[in-house]
Amino acid sequence: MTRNLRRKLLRDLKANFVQFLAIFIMCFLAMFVLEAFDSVVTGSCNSLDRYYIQTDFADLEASSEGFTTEDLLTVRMLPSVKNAELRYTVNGKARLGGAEKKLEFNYIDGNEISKMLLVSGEPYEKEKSGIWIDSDFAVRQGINVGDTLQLTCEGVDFYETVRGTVSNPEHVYFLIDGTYIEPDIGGYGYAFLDAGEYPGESLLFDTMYVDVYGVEHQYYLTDEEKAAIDGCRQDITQAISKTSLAFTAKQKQTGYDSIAVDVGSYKTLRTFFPAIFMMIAVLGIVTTMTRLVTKQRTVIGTLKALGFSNVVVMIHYVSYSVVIALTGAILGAVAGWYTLGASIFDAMKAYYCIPGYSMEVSGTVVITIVLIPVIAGVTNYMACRKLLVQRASEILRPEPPAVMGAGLLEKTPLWSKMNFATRWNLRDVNRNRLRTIAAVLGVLQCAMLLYTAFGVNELNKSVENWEYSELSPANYTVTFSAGTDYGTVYDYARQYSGQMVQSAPADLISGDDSGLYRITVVDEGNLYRFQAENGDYTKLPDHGVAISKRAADRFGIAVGDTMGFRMPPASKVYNVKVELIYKAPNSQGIAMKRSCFEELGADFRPDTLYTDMTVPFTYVNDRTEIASVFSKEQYIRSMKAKGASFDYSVLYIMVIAVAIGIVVMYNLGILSFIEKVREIATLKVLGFPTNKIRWILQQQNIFITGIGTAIGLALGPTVLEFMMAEVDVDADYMYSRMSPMPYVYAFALSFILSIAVNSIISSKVKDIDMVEALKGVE
Amino acid sequence: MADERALIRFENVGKIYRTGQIVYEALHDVNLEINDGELAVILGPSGAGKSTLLNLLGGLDGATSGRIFFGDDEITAFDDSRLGKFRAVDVGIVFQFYNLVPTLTAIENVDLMQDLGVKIMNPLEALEMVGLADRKDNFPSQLSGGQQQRISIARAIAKMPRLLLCDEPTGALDTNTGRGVLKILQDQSRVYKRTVVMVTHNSMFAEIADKVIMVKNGTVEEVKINESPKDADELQW
Repeated sequence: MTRNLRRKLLRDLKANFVQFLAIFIMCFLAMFVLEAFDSVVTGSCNSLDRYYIQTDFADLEASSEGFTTEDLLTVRMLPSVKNAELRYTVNGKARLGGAEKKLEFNYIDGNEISKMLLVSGEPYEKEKSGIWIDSDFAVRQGINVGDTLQLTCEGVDFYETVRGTVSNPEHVYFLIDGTYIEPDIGGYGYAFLDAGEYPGESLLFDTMYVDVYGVEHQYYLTDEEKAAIDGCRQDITQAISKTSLAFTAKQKQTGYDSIAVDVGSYKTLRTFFPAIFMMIAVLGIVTTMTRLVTKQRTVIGTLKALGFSNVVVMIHYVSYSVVIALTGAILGAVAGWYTLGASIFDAMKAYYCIPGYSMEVSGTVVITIVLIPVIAGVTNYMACRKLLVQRASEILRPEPPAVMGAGLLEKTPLWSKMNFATRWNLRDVNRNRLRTIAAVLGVLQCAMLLYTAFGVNELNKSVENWEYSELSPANYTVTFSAGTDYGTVYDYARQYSGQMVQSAPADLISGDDSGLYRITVVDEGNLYRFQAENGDYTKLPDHGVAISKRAADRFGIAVGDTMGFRMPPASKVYNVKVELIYKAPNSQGIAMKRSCFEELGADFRPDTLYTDMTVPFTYVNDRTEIASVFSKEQYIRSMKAKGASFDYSVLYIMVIAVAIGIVVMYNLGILSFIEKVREIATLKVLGFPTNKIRWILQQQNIFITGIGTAIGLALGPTVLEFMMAEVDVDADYMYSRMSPMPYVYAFALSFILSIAVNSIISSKVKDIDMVEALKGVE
Repeated sequence: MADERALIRFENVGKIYRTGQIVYEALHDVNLEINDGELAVILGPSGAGKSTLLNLLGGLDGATSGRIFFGDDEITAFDDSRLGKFRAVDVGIVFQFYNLVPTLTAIENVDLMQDLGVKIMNPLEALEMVGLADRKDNFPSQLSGGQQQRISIARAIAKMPRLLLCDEPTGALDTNTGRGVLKILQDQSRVYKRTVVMVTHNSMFAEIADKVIMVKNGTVEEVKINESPKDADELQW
């Protein structure tokens, strides 16, 4: 671009500061949200990809009371198995500087699957003595390679030299025992030792790690890979006969599943909200740039008349929007990365241990950064082209006003009964349809997202009460170690007047469709309750089964239908009639009374006890049969802590939605005002008082805000339900119980913002210089 | 027989505008010649076709029929790109409403012609010629109508065009200011030997012209040669 046109560009940007600032802000905010979430999602997925591939993360974990070498050889011979390894995992302690720290011991017979990744020291070799210790634990506790540690495992004290510090993919999300409800990275740790180092008498491996053919080690699993894992599970079940054999597929592994849910949540936010913001930004760019180019008609005509080629003029005008949109998009991405993105990432890092975990820029972001200025440039190109195809003399002639026929409304008797203001506003809306549509959409997204944000807040708050006051009001929840017999649990139930519940994975089957959910079998009592879809308490049926609403929706099951279920690893399928559909916030699946369960011929093996009596937390350390003891308050605290980052993100989105709403309303309001200055000046000349003119302008604004808000609030609940369903597939909410407050807040805020913005704009009415405004060529 | 001195020649030129169903014949069967270095005034009432004639001459618009020559070149045969080059190099245009770029200062508006890749005189010199060197850093909005028109003339003459076209150059100005503008235009013809074509509805301006072309109802009604044109300073209206 030539020197003087460059100067013109900069001065035009200054002269139309509000419009260009609006475009800048819209591009900035859209990219801000996209990059904030995308950087975390991309970074998490890629970091996990690299980690899982590097460590050959196990596709399947089989657990049993004891695997023999023969079992291992049998499994390795299976055609669906690429490799298998044995491991024995048990909790113990390390004495560090006079204090005891909890340490999970992993005795291994190889390091090929879900292998430890060396951070420092020497690599593991089979039958090599020493200990390889969790690197985060080593850093926090001041342990160095070469140190000798005093350890206690299964009551036996022994010493080991630290050979190396490591990380391990099975411990991405790591809670050492039931005393922890959220991770304390480095406060406790894990360690790997060769099986030969086991200090007890004889080592019985309790876990088999399996590498399945046809399954890569990357983070995301394809449906084919999931099917291959399931096939391998069935092969192993048939190949080795163990009564207590249980499986955990890769996607259900605690660490994998936990981060997958979080990443999934941010993925939804990344996709959904930036798409809306981007749409509004594009519409804003189209509306604004088209008008700005049209406003420069005479200048464009003059440049052409003076001999500037179409290409030079085109490049000059296209560069306006490209420069602004590109700057906005890049700065938005940078700001999104360093503020919201960094804050979400920090929250993720507090929960998950992934070596080399970092935020990353994805191709989507780069493409979007390029796409935004391209859209802006194309918009200007189209607007410019429309003028430049004409001869210079035609461009220099003022554009004739668009000929508008009388609309349908104008032909009705109602039209003649309308006052001047209404007719003036309706005609203005009709003449400027694109501008009106853009304004309606701006208000619409603002109202819709405000409703969604207030709705999320209310739903999250209501879940706490729903889950811990209504459905599981028990003060304490005790979970028992795997394999604890019925008699032991029953004794605790009697001692603490508790209610016994069995909860286990279950394959639900409906026709050809099946999916892994949970089955909950409930003994007599009133500490574990159920609610119907409308929120009323309901009892489990005396016969048949109850199914959660989300599971029923997934399979298309209604009351009266028959369905099957299977409790892996058992292959027996129970066919049952669905008698009830209930709503549950978490843990979707089926539920039945103990009596019904036993009628089917199944064994009731309770693993959880709900009680109102106080259960000592020390039981976790003192009694091997107890895996965890948690109070209601602990659960609520954990739920709030885990949800804090998501709530924070939603709050951010709400602020951005409001900001975009304000920008769109102000920008389009100013555009509309500038276009109407001559008409307003004429009204002033005719004697209309300033306040009356302002009220006329405000009426149009209220009309547009009303339409936008109405559609936004109508769409709000659908958007909210869609978003919440995408965020966590295992969660459900009591939408029917939502108060009208999200509507009220969203409605009130949208209107307050809109009226305030319009008042600021219309305050310029009193400053209009009638003589100046009415000068010039029509 | 064409005059050998003729810089501009119109041969049976016609111009028709079509807007939807409406067809409007702005010019028909126009034949005229303007000699090199002449100050020609195209005179006629509103709607006569004066501005259309000027637009065709400057390559701002295309003729529907007939041929227009600039020296040996036929403008009507030029494509869009060649027309742009013609306007950039050979023609200086002074608009009725000045058409300055509002976000460029006076001197930048003149210097803008340099951006076309055309050799121009020092922009300050051009401003001195119109007596506005001291207002070089003012934006158009900081100048009066007359001053803006003089900047517009400076922009047009800075590239030393062979042909200077002026569309009602004093239309938006008061008498005194208008006289000053006419003086500058007359000097372009008399002193710098440029061909100046001025469109006006004011018949008084005929007195300063070498040639007066009377246009009425879309055609040239009469061409008069003024043997002793007046100085612009002497004009009264």
